[in-house]
Amino acid sequence: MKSMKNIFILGLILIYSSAFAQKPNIEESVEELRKLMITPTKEGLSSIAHYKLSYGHSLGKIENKEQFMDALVSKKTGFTDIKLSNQTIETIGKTAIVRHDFNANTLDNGEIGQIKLHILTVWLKQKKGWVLFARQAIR
Amino acid sequence: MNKNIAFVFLALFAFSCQTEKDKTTTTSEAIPPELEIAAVAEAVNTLKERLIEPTEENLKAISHPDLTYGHSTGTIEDQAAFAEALLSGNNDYRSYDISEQVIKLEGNTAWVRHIMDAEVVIPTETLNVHLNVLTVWVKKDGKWILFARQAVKV
Repeated sequence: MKSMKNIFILGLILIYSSAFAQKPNIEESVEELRKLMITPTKEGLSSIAHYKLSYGHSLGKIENKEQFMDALVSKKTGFTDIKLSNQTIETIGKTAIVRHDFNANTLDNGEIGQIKLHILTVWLKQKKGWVLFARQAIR
Repeated sequence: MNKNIAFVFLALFAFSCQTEKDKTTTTSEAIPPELEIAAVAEAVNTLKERLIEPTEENLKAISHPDLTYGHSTGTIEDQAAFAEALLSGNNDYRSYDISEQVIKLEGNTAWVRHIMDAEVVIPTETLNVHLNVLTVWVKKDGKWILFARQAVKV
């Protein structure tokens, strides 16, 4: 009798945890990427970027996932502060388009600067959550 | 009684696992990737032709109602504004050549990059436009439609 009760409770816990497992939503994933750009880790960037990522800069340079990660981890491209504003999100099924304005203080190879961009990002919803599939910046 | 309830919950748990698994299965996995990439390339080509010969119906048929269409100047259009710019003749495409095209897809989503060389007549002049274009396509009801576009200077 007691073991039945335990199974019942276990069942409840399992259902609850599987149905309501917290995966970051799209806003949280955008925020996670923003933080990772300021404090990049290879693990964090690798986890948030899709392996087919196409990452386009405002001046025409296009990076794949490896190049995108390397630029940040090596500090060739660095950010001391990033502010996102005017954000819009459109979601169709497992695809999300996020646009925002990007205002940042940069530290590229030790050189301080400021940058103001419009950004389009494309996200895919996967088992672990939203991952970055494509990005294009424009001035 | 308790046995039955426990059984129902276990069955529900098994079901919730199953639906989670189903959700991650994409319909396009059944179609070979090279055919799917060809289908996206065809959609890109169709869009190119419709930019030159636009009608309200053919533009709406190839784009999603939530379309976000960005120009290299920073202007962003929704589906209605995108169609209006073309139909009013404010952006009158005379030619559109595609080069260096790359297509990558995952499930029902694809990104496409290419270089666009186009002749566009705007009210005051004729422009020869050379731009880097990123488009994002989603497969809906078996058809690839445009969800987002952003052009940037090369």
